[in-house]
Amino acid sequence: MKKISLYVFSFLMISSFTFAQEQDAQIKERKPGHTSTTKFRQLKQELATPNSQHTASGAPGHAYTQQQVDYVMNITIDDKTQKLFGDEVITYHNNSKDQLEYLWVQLDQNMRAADSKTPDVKQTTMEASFNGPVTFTKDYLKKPFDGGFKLEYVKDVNDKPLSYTINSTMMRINLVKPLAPGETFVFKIKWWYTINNYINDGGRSGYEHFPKDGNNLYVIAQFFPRLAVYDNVEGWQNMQFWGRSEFALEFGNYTVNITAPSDHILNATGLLQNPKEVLSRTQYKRFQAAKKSFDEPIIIVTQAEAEVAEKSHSDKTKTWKFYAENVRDIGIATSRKFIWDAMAVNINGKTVMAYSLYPKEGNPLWEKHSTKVVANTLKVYSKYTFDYPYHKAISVHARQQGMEYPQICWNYGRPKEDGTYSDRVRDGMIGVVTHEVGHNFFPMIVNSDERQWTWMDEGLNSFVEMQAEFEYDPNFNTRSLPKDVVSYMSMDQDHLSPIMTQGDHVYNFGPNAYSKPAAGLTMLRNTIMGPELFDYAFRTYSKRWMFKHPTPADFFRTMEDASGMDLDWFWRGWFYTTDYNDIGIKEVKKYYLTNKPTKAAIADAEKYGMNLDDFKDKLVYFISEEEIGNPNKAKKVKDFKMLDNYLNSLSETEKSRIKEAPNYFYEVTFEKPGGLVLPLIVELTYEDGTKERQQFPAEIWSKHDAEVKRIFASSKQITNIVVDPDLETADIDITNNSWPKKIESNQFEKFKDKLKN
Amino acid sequence: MTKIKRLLIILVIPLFAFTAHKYYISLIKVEYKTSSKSLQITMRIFIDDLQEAINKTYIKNFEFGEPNESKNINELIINYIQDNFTVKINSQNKVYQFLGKAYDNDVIFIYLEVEDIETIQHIEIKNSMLMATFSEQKNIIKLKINNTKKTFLLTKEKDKDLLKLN
Repeated sequence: MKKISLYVFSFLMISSFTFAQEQDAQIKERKPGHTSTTKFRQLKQELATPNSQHTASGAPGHAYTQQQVDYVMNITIDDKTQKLFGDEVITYHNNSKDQLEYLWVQLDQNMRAADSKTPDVKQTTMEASFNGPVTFTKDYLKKPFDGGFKLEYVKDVNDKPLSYTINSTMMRINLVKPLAPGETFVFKIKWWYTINNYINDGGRSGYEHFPKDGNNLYVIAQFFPRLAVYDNVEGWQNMQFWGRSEFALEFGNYTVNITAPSDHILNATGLLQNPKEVLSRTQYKRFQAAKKSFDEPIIIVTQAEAEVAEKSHSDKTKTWKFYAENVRDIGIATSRKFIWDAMAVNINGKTVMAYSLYPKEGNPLWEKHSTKVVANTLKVYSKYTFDYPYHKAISVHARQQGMEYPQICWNYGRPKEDGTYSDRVRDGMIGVVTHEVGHNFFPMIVNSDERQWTWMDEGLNSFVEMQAEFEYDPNFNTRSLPKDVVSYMSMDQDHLSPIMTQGDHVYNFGPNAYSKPAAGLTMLRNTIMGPELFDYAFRTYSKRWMFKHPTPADFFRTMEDASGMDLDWFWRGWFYTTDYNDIGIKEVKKYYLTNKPTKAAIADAEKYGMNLDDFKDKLVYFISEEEIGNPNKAKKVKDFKMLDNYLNSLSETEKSRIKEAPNYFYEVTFEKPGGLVLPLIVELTYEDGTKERQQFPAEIWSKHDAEVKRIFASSKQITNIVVDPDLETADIDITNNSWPKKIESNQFEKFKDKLKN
Repeated sequence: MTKIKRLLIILVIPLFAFTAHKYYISLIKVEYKTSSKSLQITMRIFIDDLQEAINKTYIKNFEFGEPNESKNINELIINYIQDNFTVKINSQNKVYQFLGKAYDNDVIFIYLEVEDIETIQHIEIKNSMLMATFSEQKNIIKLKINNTKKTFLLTKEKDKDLLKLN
């Protein structure tokens, strides 16, 4: 059989052989060697070495332990003096294998003590050229507010005083004898402090005063001395509470008895042990009925009842008793002004109660939305992580607040006095309620160290928040999509910090810890991993670290471990640097087919010492648009007899693999002026109007960081090419994203045109 | 409670764990269009912040954003901008026209234009908007004049900057 030696060479883009270049180049100075700098190098040096507590898989290891701290406390809120009094018995379980010479207790209210150092790290300037009397008095005449803890005693279980040392917001209990592994230490503290008016003095907790009816609305938190976390990641997490970075807390069981004025409506973390004692008969009936009301909220305390309570200013007291199992903190809300509504939520067969507490000033917005948003949040978050394990979730109306505690949170969103509210106010309220209730999952249950890594709860929470918002309202204006962080990421580099920066020292805290991580996760889910792989891995992470203390490495590792995707390049770029994404099209070269040698082919043949005449009718030549001049001269695949012959000589199996013949060849040069490596999303538009999407994995940039070329071979002509048409990759400059280049009239001109019409 | 209003209140806004991503930055794009010999100015400011600053400065209670928007808002916005934002080209203070405003989510866009600019040898921009109300306010000015791109980062301490062109 005659052998048909057929060479289908692509003489297209023969990159000049290196030896040719070397001969021409001058002898340059030899550069020094280097370590691995590829953007795809693994995060081995950045992440802590895996160990038997935090494994290489990203899971808690066989030797994982965590401490447990139980509290029994009695709290009194004195509405007349705005003071909180408390006493507690703390049981500290040392589940670690270490001897502890001391325990650290957090005294967060000391951030507001008269001698707090928090004001001393702020800049003060001659801001105003004039002051009214209120401001002047506050800034220069008044002594600083003293909201710090006043400790009456710190003693052991036998009432013997304990030695302790206070360093601002941290107190060290100097143990007489080290606490051995497996041992328990019981001690008691009695304290009081002046509750801050948070409207005037700021803060995540405190009270708001309502001058019209003379009542206060209390949102109480960080109100008791509590243990710092001890583990083998930070040792004792006793970094000071300056006011910004939040809390690191242990799990435990809390018995909390709270005494407040008898005409207050109060709720807190934990199962209410004595509802019949604290609610009227009617209210108790409604409270029970709500447990069966899955479609609409039931009002347990009505606005009319709240308005009556507002006037009573009772001198009597009531004690509300709560028991909270396996929580990391307690929050309390109490006021005469509270309306209370409730709805039952079915979480995979278990009933969870959604509650809202709000004064009349929150209506009609709060009655309409709050409890329903709580319910929606619980359902959607449970889908993405795990079934909500607690029995209730409460949304409390508090002006200017947005803060989370286990099972209870404070949320802003107040209509105007006439009851009207803008879309902005409504959406803001729905967003904050979703976000704060969502925090039950991160960090109340997936209990990361907020003092060190704000983004681990805020970023993850902001991401799941978006999914919940879309389900509540598909047109909801979320703010943490990749395109929403473009203006942040294209900011002046001097004011950008990587996400992996401890929160107190970050510029532009909001986008850094909230929206940029959330946008990154959106990219991971929708663009890089796809929802199926992402959702499984995200759920795996959530379930692994439910009721435990994860670190960033656990998150990064789990997402890879459970999906089979290498994501270190993504964590490195998005979380560890302030690099931005900018991918575009630099050039498009169009090629046709011909059966005659082209200039380039002749030149290459010379280089290889080939005589093209020997290959007459045996080769397919690629000819550029410029060279062919008239495209009608181009040949089609079917014009090549030798190709036909070759195809016919193939086996049946191989024949079945032959696809439609392309006649047009586009060599597209993609450029990447931005530092990040991300998938390359390309949309081709053909001459018949049809479109095709192709996505190349980020690894395409691995050996071609600045520019990479791809050939698109097609039977139809391509009229348009667009990179990232749906704005999925936070591309900070889309003026280079189109071919042919789009002369984008800028935003200014678009506005002017609109005015003319 | 006396009726003396606080004219300039420096709010210490603590950072909560909420969605409103509080950071005090405004972005202004200033672009010179050779074809029309005009300077196009696009301001991007958080609605809440501008609302608060204007209400505090003029002792008003306006609500920005449709549909409840007060009728005299544009007047106040123009006044406020004129008190805080100046453009000097070739050492001359330039008059700018207020073309209009548009809302997008939690941001307000304000469009200004300076006409009849033959050449720009140097341009000085002052922008102290929001700084009296929010001490950490930073106003970023992104200039694009012919082939020159420059960014000013203006703060309370330095609320104006100058660019010299060749």
